[in-house]
Amino acid sequence: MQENNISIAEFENCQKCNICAEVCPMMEVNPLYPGPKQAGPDGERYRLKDPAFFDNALKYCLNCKRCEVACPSGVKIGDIIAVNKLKYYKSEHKMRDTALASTDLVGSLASPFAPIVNGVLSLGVTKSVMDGVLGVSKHRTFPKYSSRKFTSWLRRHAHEQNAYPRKVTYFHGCYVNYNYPQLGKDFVKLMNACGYGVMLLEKERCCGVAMIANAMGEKARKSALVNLASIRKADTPVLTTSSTCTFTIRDEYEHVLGLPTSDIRSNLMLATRWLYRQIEDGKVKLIFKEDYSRKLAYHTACHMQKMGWQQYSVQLLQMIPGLQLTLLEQHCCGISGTYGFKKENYEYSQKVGAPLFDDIRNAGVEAVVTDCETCKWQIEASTGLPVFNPVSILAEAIDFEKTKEANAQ
Amino acid sequence: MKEYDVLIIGGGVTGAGTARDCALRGLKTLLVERHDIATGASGRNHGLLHSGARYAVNDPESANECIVENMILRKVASHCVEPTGGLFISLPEDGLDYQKKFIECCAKAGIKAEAIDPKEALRLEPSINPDIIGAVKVPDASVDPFRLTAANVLDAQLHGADVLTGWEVVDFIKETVTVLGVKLRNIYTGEVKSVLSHYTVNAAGIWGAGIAEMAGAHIGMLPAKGSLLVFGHRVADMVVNRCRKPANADILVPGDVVSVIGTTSDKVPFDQCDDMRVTKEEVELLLREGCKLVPSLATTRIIRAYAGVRPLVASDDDPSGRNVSRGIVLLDHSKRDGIFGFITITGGKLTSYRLMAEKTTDLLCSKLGVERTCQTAVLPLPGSEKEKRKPSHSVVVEAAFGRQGTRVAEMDFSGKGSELVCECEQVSRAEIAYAVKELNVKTLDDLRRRTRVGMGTCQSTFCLRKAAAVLAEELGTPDKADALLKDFIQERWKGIMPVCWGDQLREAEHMRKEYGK
Amino acid sequence: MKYDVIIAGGDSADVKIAMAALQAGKSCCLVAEGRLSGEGGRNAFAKAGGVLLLGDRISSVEWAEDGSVAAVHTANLDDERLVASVYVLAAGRFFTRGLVSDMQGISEPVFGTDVQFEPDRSKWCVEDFFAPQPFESFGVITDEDRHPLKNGKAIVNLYAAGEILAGGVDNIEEICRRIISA
Repeated sequence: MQENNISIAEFENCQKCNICAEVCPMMEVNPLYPGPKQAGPDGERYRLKDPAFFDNALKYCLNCKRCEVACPSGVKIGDIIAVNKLKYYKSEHKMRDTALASTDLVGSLASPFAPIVNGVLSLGVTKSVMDGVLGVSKHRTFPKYSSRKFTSWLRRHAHEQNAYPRKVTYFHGCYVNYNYPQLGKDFVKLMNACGYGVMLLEKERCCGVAMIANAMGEKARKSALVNLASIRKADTPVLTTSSTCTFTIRDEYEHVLGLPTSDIRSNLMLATRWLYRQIEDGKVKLIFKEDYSRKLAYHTACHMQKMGWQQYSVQLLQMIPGLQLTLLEQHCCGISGTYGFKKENYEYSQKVGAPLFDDIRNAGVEAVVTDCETCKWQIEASTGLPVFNPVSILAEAIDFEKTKEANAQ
Repeated sequence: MKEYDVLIIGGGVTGAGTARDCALRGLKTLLVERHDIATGASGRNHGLLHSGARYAVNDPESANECIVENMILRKVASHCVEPTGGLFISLPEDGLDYQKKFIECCAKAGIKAEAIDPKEALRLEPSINPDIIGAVKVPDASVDPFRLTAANVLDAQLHGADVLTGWEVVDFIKETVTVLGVKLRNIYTGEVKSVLSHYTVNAAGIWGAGIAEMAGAHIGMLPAKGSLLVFGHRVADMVVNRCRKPANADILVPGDVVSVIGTTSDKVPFDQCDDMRVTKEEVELLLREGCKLVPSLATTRIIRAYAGVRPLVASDDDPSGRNVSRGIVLLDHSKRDGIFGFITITGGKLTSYRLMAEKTTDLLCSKLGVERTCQTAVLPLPGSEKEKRKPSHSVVVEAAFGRQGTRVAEMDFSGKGSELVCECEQVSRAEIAYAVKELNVKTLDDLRRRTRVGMGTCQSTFCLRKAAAVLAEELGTPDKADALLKDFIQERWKGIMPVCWGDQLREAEHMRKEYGK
Repeated sequence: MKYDVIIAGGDSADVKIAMAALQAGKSCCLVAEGRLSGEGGRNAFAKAGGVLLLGDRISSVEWAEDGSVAAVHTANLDDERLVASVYVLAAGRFFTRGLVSDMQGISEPVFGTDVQFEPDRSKWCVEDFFAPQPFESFGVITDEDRHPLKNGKAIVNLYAAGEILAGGVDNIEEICRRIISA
């Protein structure tokens, strides 16, 4: 007669065990944040009675999803918070939040003037104006803009990519396109070595994670619809190099924006997951350089942990002879995309990341590997160590010619 | 020994309302309650402020009383009432014949009942059964009976009344045919004392039959048990009724942050009235019928089951006892039984408690020769005063405001005050301190009735240790925390047992691991 | 992905067995839906080289013809076959969802093994909260070697351990021994 509970994001499964609060990195450092249990399932009952019970302090949530990973009851705590922020949150820094969240737009505008923009953004005077007027932390350095977009580079190489009989499609994300085309180039190199040419989606927009975080639901939905339509049209696997973009499209589109993704979920994945499966199934072989030597530490980004895919990246890296890999205990780095750029969050952001930074410093490694670009900014800025995507390490470690030969059909 | 004008037995809403009315009219008043306020039928019902529509067809007089009182309570008890509105829905199996008669009778009783298109009904309240063939909108509302009773007691005290909770009437003090007062025994300490009063009012609900017996009068009463289920959150925002001859499980009420479906109706022996158990069969019946009103109840977590006893009064002119009066019964025992100084007020409903109190107090005033008119229809209860108030933007303060109304101004949210104790129900230390100071709290269960502590999803699993410690501290008996905890959890357990499956069984296991050993 | 031992975790038995397996030189994968309060053990397991799939659950099981477990899949790694020589069911009781209940009865959701419970729901609890509750002794039925039964037949490469066992027997050390010698 009674079936199992069905409630919004399973909020009613909550047993009030409080384990989510124990793992929440924000609650520990910020007394203003009510914590995942209160902000999530507890608050939900009251908001269902009256939306006036929405607490603006929900803005402090990092959306790291560590609460969801820890929850023994399957409550989608982070989703509850994100959905309510979209519905009810009123920002006190509307202009700044919009600017920070519009990675696509700002990137397109900045790229042609990259040297000027980078120069201006790093000026002390600009920083204090942004801090005072806009509320962007002066302690932050913006990721540099690249003068040539990744997509422009790839289009120029379209001819050679088309020559490969097998193809994959690349969802590069804003960071690769505007700030760090090198990762995209590494991805292309790795895929080419595996015998695959790289194509772009018909249209790609920002995945929307920053818009979701900044309560710009309508804009996020518009971007999402463009991306979903393009991914649906792709007739090859769609691969990514950002755990957050991947997680946003596969899970947040459906859970937070209400856009069904079940039909594309299995076709959109991190390059490391795809590559691991190809190798396991004997379809692809990697041949590594004989003299490769590196001492690295792997950091599991929060959204990577939520997807449960760190095994793929780790196992691939562990295939590289000469690579000494330390697995870091999972901590949040504290940046959470645009979150850590906001003046009011800077201190919390650094406090959250402190245990991770300590672990990294104590690991005695030359660099860090992670699947998330914003973790990269944060760890580089806070530890001084360079941070790479596993794809870049793999691209660096393979013997390109031999691998290409091994995978030629 | 203090002499009172009026001694009222029974801290339900009727007794509390009568105490308030008496105090407002300047009578020296004592309210005596065996356990705590609203522990009988007053606290064990739907929490529905009837529009009267449900009675319109069979009992037009009660129906009219309800609508008049409903409109009054919205104003004078605004912090206890949520004007949700109500729907009477017709399912295909019900047909529409009843609806026609129903609307006519509502109109005659003065109840605004408006037939609306089923589509419009589904838009207003999307949770209702989409198969409905008809719907009528009525001014039903949701009312918190604990708050309502507590506010009446508080106002009685503010106007000079004395209140004794935890004192049981063990005997009457009589001189031949006149009641002079009562002998009381403290249920915690066993202490016995006598209190004298010009008039004694029996407002003890179903237990009033025993009280009358003790005074030498007989009232034919039939205990009728009604069981209800509490769902974990708000499923509907309006009261949802079935538009048919009143039957089992045909009303769903949104009560604060939960939903309540009920009731069943079964005659029970008097000796069961102190310890009601909800049976497996009742749970299944409530669920089966409830799902016809609101289908999502089938997939909503049930957190608790409880039962109350309606005090049905047999008509005096029917010796068989089969003919039951549903209206207000005010008995002047001097005229009826030749017992002087003794009055019984019974029957009626939660919605008409104020009118019952008014009628009783009118009778008392005429006997005592006091010429003061009733003001309870216009004077707001403490907490319901119309005041301009800025929202605090704090969840704990707003939750406390929702429960205690303007009395929130008496609470100190500074420092530790804003610390949450019960997280499901957003109850802070400040609200607990206020309840202990102003609202006669002795146990955690008393505190629960005034603040919702432990009434949420986890039924106190999360907060119990803290709540017990905070209450013990506020009461000035920090060593009693463990005893408070044990009594409370046993009481929570009683309501969990009948619905212990699925997530509630998980919670039960959790609760046992935390507190069972 | 291949391991010596795969554990469907939930209660504190899971990490004790997982650590014992690692210490015996076996590769081990522990799948657990949630964290345990105050539990540092699982982090230690991951640090010691165990594979910890946290916030994940076994979503489907592939069965061999002889009724043994051939592979499992998790919700996160749905197209991945996770294969082991020994599987352990240490998912705890109701709170950790090793057992699930509804109005009709009680079942074990991962492997669908046979569960012992009182069919009359009104007898799952007793009135005295502080007394042992009947539901606390419900659980998975095993043979003498702690292999859970499915439709009366033992699953020979699966062990049940910890609270999920009917009758609440503490067999954690026994299971550790059996796994080490397997």
